[in-house]
Amino acid sequence: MKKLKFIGNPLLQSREKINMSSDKKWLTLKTTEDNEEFVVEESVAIMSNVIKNMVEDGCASSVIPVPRVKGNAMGKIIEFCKKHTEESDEKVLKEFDAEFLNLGPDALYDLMVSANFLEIKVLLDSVTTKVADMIKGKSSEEIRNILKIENDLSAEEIEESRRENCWTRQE
Amino acid sequence: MNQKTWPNSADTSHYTALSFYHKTRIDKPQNNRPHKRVSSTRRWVWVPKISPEAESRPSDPKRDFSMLPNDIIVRIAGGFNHPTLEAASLVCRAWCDALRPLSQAMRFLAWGKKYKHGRGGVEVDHERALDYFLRGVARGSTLAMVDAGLLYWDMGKKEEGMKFYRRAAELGHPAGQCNLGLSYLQIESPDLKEATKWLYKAANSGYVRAQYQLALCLQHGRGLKRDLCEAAKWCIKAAEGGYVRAMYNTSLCYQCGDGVAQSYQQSKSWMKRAADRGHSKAQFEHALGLFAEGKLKAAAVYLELAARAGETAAGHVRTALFEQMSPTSQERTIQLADNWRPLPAVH
Repeated sequence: MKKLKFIGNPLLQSREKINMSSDKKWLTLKTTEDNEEFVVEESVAIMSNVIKNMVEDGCASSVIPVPRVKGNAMGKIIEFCKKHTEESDEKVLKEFDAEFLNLGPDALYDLMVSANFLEIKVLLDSVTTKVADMIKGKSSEEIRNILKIENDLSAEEIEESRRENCWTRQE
Repeated sequence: MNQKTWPNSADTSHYTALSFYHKTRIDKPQNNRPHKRVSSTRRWVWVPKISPEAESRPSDPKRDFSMLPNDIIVRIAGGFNHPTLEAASLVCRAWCDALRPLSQAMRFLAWGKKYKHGRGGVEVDHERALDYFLRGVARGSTLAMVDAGLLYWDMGKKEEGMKFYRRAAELGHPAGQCNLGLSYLQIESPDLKEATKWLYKAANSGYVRAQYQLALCLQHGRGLKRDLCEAAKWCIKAAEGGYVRAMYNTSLCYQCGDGVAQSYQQSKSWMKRAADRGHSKAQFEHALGLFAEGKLKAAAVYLELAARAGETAAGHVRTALFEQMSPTSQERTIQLADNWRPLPAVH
């Protein structure tokens, strides 16, 4: 059975679906990796520059296949885009983003890569800012622990990098 | 960008995360009308479940931050100061390579600042400073963008300056956003809507200078509807963040009861905090407060500090006070003023 996702209140959207042809345009985004389908308003979907270009160029059918993005990441992305389309108060959006991005490094990684791929500037900025804040003021070892990165630099490479940066430290 | 196919960025890492869903039956409509239990209206919704346990399950492939595309790594580190940038460059080879341009940008930034202020054995040379800042900008440094903007603005090329502020602002740099907002207020035909938009962005990021400027706009009804309560709120935020001018302004708000409940206690406390951080007017007013309480020696020190900072009225009062003091006390006052250092703050 096909699994359809309605973002938002499904009961409300079932009523909206009947009136779908009236004023709002809807798109179905289908993640090709796991075959999840998401029905979203076009105004929300075009926050992705890539989807926007496809729609404007007229090469988007009613179902747009989206490679590389997993269903759970797509759901989060649509939730973000919907909020940012509906809300214009900076303060409210700031609070929403703070809560929305209260995720572990793995989820943030998925969002970052997907936002980059789909060219959603606002989301990419928010996630990269969040990651930057997580590692600001930390040592290399601490950064590695937070983001679970393995150190593959040799002692010579570390020394060379330190020497390169040494004179600026003296400023 | 006009493209009909999906972008094929070869350096984007592939990930095959498993997705976990659970079914939720929506029984109660959100408008609280009594629910009619009819089978055709029952809705099943697949809600994505992202839990920490799912993320760290052994069967999940690791999200490798070292495999991020270079431009994302640069975006993350774009606003880092030198120590954090150095630490980030030493995380792994991929990050070292990706951040090399930014590290170079840091070096150009340092040289640019030297030539701008005439420090470290070089003379002031704005053209050269600008050249260095632009080289930093070319390597993606948002700090360099703000500095280039500042220099252009100082040179009178306001439009150029604003272009660079905008670049930094759009990349999320709070100083860039604040400066952009301020420039929209200061140009010949001010754009108040844009000004307040960018000031709000910077203020919400916690940038104290923007919070203070926003408070001023709200106090004077410039670009925003006059709202003393909101103004006081932002002013206090900036003051608590260490912005000295905001501390002085907060003291005045409490003194007059502008947007906050009048409180001489709070007013005195904030005035002292501003005075201890070098605000000359605050030093003068704090001295007058101390004088009124009979603490003449302490008053004399603050009057001396205020006079040295350029408050002529404070100089007159200090002279009058000195006439009432013994030579030893006068000497002691000068000594204390000589040894005084302002507490750390944001100016």
